[in-house]
Amino acid sequence: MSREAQYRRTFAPARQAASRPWCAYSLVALGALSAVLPAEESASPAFFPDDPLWAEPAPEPVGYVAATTAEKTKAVLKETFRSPAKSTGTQAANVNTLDEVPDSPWFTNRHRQGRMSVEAIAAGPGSENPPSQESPWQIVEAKVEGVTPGFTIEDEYGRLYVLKFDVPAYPEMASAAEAIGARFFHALGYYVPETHIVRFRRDQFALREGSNFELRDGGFRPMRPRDLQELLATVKPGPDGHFRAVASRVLPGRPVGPFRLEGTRPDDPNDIVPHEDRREIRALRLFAAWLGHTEIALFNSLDTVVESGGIPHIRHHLIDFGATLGSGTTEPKDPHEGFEYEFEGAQVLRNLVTLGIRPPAWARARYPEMKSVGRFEATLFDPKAWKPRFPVAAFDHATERDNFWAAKQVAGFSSDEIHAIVRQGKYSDPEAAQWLARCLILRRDKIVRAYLPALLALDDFAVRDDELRFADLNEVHGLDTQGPYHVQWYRFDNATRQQQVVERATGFALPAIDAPFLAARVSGRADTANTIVYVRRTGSTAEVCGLDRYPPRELADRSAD
Amino acid sequence: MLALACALMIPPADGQETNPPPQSRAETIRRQRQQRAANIPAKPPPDANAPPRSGKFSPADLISGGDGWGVVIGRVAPGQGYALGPVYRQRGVWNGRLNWQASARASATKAWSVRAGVEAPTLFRTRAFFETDAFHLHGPRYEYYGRGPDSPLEDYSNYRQEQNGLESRLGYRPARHLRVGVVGGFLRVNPGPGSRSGVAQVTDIFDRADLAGVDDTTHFWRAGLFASYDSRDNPGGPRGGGLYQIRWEKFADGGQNRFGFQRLRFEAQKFAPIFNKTNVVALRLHSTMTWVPENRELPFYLQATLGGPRELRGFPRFRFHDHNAIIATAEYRWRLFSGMDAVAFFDAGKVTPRSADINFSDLEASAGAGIRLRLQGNVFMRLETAFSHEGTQVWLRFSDIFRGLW
Repeated sequence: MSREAQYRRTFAPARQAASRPWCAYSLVALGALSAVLPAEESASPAFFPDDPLWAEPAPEPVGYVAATTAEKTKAVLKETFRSPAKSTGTQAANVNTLDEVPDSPWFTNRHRQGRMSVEAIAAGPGSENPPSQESPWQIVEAKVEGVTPGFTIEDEYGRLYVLKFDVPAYPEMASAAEAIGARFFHALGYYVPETHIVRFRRDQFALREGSNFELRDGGFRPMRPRDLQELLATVKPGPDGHFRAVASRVLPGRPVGPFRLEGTRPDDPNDIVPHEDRREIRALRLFAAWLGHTEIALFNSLDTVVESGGIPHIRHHLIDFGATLGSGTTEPKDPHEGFEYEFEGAQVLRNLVTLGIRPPAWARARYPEMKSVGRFEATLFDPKAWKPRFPVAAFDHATERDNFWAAKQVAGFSSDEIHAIVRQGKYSDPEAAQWLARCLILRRDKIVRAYLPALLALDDFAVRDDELRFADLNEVHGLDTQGPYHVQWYRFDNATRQQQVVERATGFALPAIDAPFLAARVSGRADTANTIVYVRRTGSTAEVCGLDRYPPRELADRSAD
Repeated sequence: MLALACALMIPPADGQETNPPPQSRAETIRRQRQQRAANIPAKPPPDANAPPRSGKFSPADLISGGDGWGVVIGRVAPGQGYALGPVYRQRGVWNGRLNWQASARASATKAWSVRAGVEAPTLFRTRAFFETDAFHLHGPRYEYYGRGPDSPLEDYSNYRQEQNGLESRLGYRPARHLRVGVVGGFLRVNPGPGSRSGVAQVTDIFDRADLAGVDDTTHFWRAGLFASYDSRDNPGGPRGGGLYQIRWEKFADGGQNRFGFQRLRFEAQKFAPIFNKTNVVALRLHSTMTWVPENRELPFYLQATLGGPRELRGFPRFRFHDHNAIIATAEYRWRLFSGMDAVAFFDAGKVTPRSADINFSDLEASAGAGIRLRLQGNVFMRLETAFSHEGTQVWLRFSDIFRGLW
């Protein structure tokens, strides 16, 4: 079934209800809802008084939540042969009437909406709380993570941190990626752990009574002084005898396992939107593409039960950013990462037949000879073609709107801010930081060019001085303008969702008519997308209460109607 | 946006009292959450006084290499068939210094072995290591075609070996990648009639005079030196770096004054990556040289050998035997996907009676192709077809082609 046909099927009831076929998706969706809702609920207005909702209401309390477990090897095998999902064209289900994501236990609007300072962006979720080195760190638990040790330590203030080291062959690579990745995802709006690069001497560790050593089978035994000696022997101190590690503060609350990228968590009453239909989950693809987070599909998340206002609820975190940028944690990223899924049948056949003599372009990518960077570049990076290691249904379901929203968030990072975050990787080689920042800036620009022009790149709509104002993102980001822009005003009935053309109301000034709701269709050149902006009048004030964005082909659709 | 409601709204059950329409977006969401909460069964928290977890068992643990009881899968010895058996492992004993394990395994071909090993991998500030293995092995199906590069295929025969042995290595790591050390041990071999049905016994085909040691149970003492330089990027499935190792050993029989020899083994492996390590050219050169004093002999079962799934893959296993051997292998490996490589290879080698004859003339050659399966970068299975002037061989093996550190 074509995508257009799917639209018609999904939104047909609303198209009948609306007098104009270009009615907003949201309104259309609500209309579709009426088919299955009790009459009194289907009578809900298009806009409630609290629209646009910028923060979800206080959560419902959770009962006892059992921790979910994940077997990585089994999951890798399963995910490797998963087929990519076909996009249904369904719009994200958790956005507000301005097509933005409200604050929730999943996401908090930070940089894009509030413009964090450069210092706040660089600080990430809490740079004021690095582990204190005034007194030795008490080892709570230790284990071997692959080929490097991992410690859980407690500082003198009783704060718990997880310490992870770089493999000696690739100094600074994974720790810097962890520190940088956490800050980017924090500024983008996700919950992440506080992450700090720390340098310390061997005597910073103290083995306290009751310390545990985790065995490979997941069991524990008491930790011995020799364990510490052997664990530290596997990592390499710098010439000054200091070790470098990344310290991630243990997340608040009781951990209850990773969240999945599709479905809902059955024991969470607040988890009412399937994850694949969450805007911030769909948008993760583009963020992960920008930052090279190819492991995003697998377990790099953690739910914890926290209390806010005395209400226990589940908060959803992203964790483990050691496989972002050019790092694959213990070695540089595999060169196919970001370009191919782990398994693609057609590609396997092609490789077999060509005997590897005509390798894909990514196999010829050029990377800097910097061990702390790994494999990260911007020349071959194509944001539309970028893939995580395994197919993710939520990513495949992303629509133009989801990608537009994500691209807006990425575009919100200035070059100075990118440099400031990369500096938090504390590379000893300034060239490494320069290279990474340069790549991130180039990749940001590619994302902006790829996704902003797909819709009408106007944003920050507001009514000032009885005129509709907006920011032209094309201008802001140096893209070709989609203007000149045209407006057609409509009278909008909030109860019936019917619109009526206001004659001769084609300027940016609000028409001088007596109507509590107005709708403005803003369009650019004939071949560009268009946006419907809804304005609510309350007394003498007018405010933008909603908008819907349409790709260019929807114009054609409307003409047909 | 408003579609949020769409995802959540569920019509009430028949007879259920309906609510008045929500008056705000927040109320709409709250109602959906409350409706969902009402359908979540209450679950009691676990007993806080329950003992802490000490390792959760799953069947995968049996083959995961974890501490405790497990299952070991593999061969008893080359050519003796796949075997299965129990293993018990314990790591970190003696204040974390020692690991040990004991295992037994048996195959459907009636080969079996028991083994026990102890290792101390991090002695003297982790610079030194010690390993020792004791074993008893019963291998009833060893193949033999006679000695020399021209041994005819028709002389296919078989014999049995029973071995008791102990081998110990004490080594030191003076620098990154470099290991040097001494090796010593004991080996007792008792050859006998083989059990391959329809295959002749060695004593039926060859003169006993050409089968030194065939009628004796012989004890050997062995001692030697070894050194290795290992810069492979991933020993489980390298795509770059190299491995260079040499080992010299002296064997002497235990008082019979009949058998004795010195053996020098050298191996170089080099992995040349191309296209960002998606393709690899792998080269290997391996030689075994044996010096036998005039008044001593080399038992036929300790001769150098070529042929089989690792060396000269186009020939049957143990196709060639003699005092010395040289084998060169070139492989071109290319990536099909991250879990599988394809490979085309060429092997050339020969056995010789004299170490002075070790050179690159008159080599037996074979070529072939296959696939390698990888899990987390490590090769865990390979399927190969190889061709030579003696026919075609198909090999399915659950390990990488080149041997690791001796």
